[in-house]
Amino acid sequence: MRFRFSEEQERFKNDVRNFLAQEREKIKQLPREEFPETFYSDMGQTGWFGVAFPKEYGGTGHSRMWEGILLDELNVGAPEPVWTAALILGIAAPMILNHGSEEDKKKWLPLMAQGKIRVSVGCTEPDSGSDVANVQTRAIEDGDDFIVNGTKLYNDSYKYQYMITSVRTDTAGPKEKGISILMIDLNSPGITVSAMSTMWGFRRNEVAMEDVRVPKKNLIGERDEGYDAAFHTARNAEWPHMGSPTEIKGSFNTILDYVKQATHRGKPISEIPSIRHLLAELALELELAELIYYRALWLEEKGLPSAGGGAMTKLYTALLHYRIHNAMIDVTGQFGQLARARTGEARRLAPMRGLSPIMFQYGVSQTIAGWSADMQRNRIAAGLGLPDAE
Amino acid sequence: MPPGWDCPTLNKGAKMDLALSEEQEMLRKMARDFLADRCPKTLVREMEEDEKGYSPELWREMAGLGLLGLAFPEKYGGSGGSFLDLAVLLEEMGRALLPGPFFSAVVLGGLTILDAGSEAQKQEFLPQISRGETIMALALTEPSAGYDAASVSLRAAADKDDYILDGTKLFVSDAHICHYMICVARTGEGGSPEEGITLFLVDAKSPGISYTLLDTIASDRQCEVVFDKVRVPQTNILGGLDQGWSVMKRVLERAAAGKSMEMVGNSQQVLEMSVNYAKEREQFGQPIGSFQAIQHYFAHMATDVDGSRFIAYQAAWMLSEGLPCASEVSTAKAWVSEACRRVDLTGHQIHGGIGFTKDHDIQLYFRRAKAAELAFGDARFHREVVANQGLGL
Repeated sequence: MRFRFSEEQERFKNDVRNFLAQEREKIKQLPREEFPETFYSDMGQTGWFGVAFPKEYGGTGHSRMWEGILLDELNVGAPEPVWTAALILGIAAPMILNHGSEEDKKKWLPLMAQGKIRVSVGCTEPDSGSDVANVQTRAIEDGDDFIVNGTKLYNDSYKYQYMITSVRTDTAGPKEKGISILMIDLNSPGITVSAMSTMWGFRRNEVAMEDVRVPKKNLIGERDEGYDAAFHTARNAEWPHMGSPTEIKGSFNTILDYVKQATHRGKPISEIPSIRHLLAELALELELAELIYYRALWLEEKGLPSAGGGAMTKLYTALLHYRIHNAMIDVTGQFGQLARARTGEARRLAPMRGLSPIMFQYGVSQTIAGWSADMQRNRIAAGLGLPDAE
Repeated sequence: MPPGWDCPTLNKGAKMDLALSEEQEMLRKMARDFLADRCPKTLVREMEEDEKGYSPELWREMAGLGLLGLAFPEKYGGSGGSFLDLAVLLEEMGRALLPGPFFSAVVLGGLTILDAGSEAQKQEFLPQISRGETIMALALTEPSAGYDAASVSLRAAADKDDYILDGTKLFVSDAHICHYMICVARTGEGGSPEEGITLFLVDAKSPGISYTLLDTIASDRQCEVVFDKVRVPQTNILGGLDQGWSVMKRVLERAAAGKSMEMVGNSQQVLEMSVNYAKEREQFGQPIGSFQAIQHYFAHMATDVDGSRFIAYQAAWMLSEGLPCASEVSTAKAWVSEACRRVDLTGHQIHGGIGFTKDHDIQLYFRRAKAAELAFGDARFHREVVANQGLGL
């Protein structure tokens, strides 16, 4: 038993950290709303998008643990919302790796590893959230193509080249049968990508597809056999980067720094017992979150079974995400409700750079996105061998 | 409850009756229907972006219906209602997410003048507030962000027939649109912090006052207000020189109780929205409301909403009856603040992804609940009061 990374992994961690610091500096030079294309091409050159792909598909041939280390660093150091890079790593690529044909893997994975294409993941539909099998997006054969009609929600397709998505290619049998996975070129005629505005301000997208022509050769794996890929994706959805506690560790450290210097009526708030206990409990839970995360990665690396696989880390970190960001407001009292004003006198008043309102709202989403908390609980229960309800 | 049951914490010997009166039920229905029609969510969203933060047209309609003067005596242009009647109205306002200065003008302004004002001050201000002509704000909290007397350091120095006010107030709701502010100032040193506090009625257009609107989680209209040598006539003292803190204690109790009522309305509406959603939303071939996990969420929510309702109404009733109730008010504010947050969070969980978009209404409730939780003392503050005053610790 050893609770340390190897020297090689430590070097990797440092390399990633330094790389991200440089990228953040570069991006500061860009106009505020500009999409950071160079981040993707730079990261492509490192090969790290393929850190968990086999070498024959353009990856570096490392394990999920290395992917976990990379995601840890992206969570705090990435110059833009982490899921944009992490989804490529954590979902899009595994869908192809685990369910694609040899040809699919050789065609798509090297391009993803090199950052040459960004692939978003189209899971959710208006009537398909937790119920992954309830795919309504329809794909009908037409010569060498499929004609696709439907809507996908909450994805990252803005400025992405492709979307990997589940479509219904057969309506005859049970809904789990007749699902296929397609790589759809987001520049195809008939596709409209529009912004969904969310509580925490980051853009998510609706992708509306009307009579979109997709070549059959863009099928990933076998036709009608895509349920496993879709279900596997949901089960594994975002657990590495949503289980990774580094983002919330960063928030915790921000709270701790604040508490150490803040006073209330001349006395340090760090002396208030209820605040001390709050921070102590959060610190304890963070320690657990980190250990649960790395254990999930280690089990997968070793091919060992576990109760629910990544479900436990995803659920635990998600619940803690909300509690930590509620604490961020709690310790600052009324000031915690202040976002940092863009200009003027009010700019100086918000503590912690005015992050607490937005992070608090973000925290609410974590038990919903990437398959909800109750679905994760179902997985953990199944992993314990408990029978399904009738 | 068995008939004739005596509750030791309430009026000894009185029978418990947990129903509203017929008039209060009529008020509730009228307010609910009016606000459902005249304060739709489109207006709520619009006012989150609007600088004034309220609709003058709606304000006039509310005045016309007698809502602004509900709890003022008829001789001051009001309807002669009680604080309990006002509590019923505040619950409906919380349910509808009414934007604007009602709480500032009526609860913080009007009721304070009614409580502590001279006859001349009541005659001057209360009818104007009832008619919707005068909006008031309360400037209490300072950068120390406390709700106790020791947190008041803004100075009011005597200068012939006037006082000169100097200092900064924060989180002053509706300061930027008000006509008058009640400013809580320090006029004396020595002795305990509660001594030497005076309330001043300050004309909002006085030279030396500046306002900065704050960017808040609930997109409500709170301001930083700087008083830079602001001259106020001594005739504008409210409630007597150095006598202000005993008035403020009652103001804060009414404010905490009133804010709790808004949260009751908020959480009730979120419960109803969530039930409706869970009945309609189908996954795995059935409504999600049929799943045990979701049903258990609802059980917790319903318990939280019911508990909040009765603990908040108890506080409002005791204030209405003029009973000492510092501990009951703080119990209500502490409990309801956290219960409302739990209910709104669970509502989000039930709504899933759709609830996370700004287009959906539930996030309006969630953000407003957070602001209400923090106003007039958060749960930590009020638990201290319960420990000190309720339990004698």
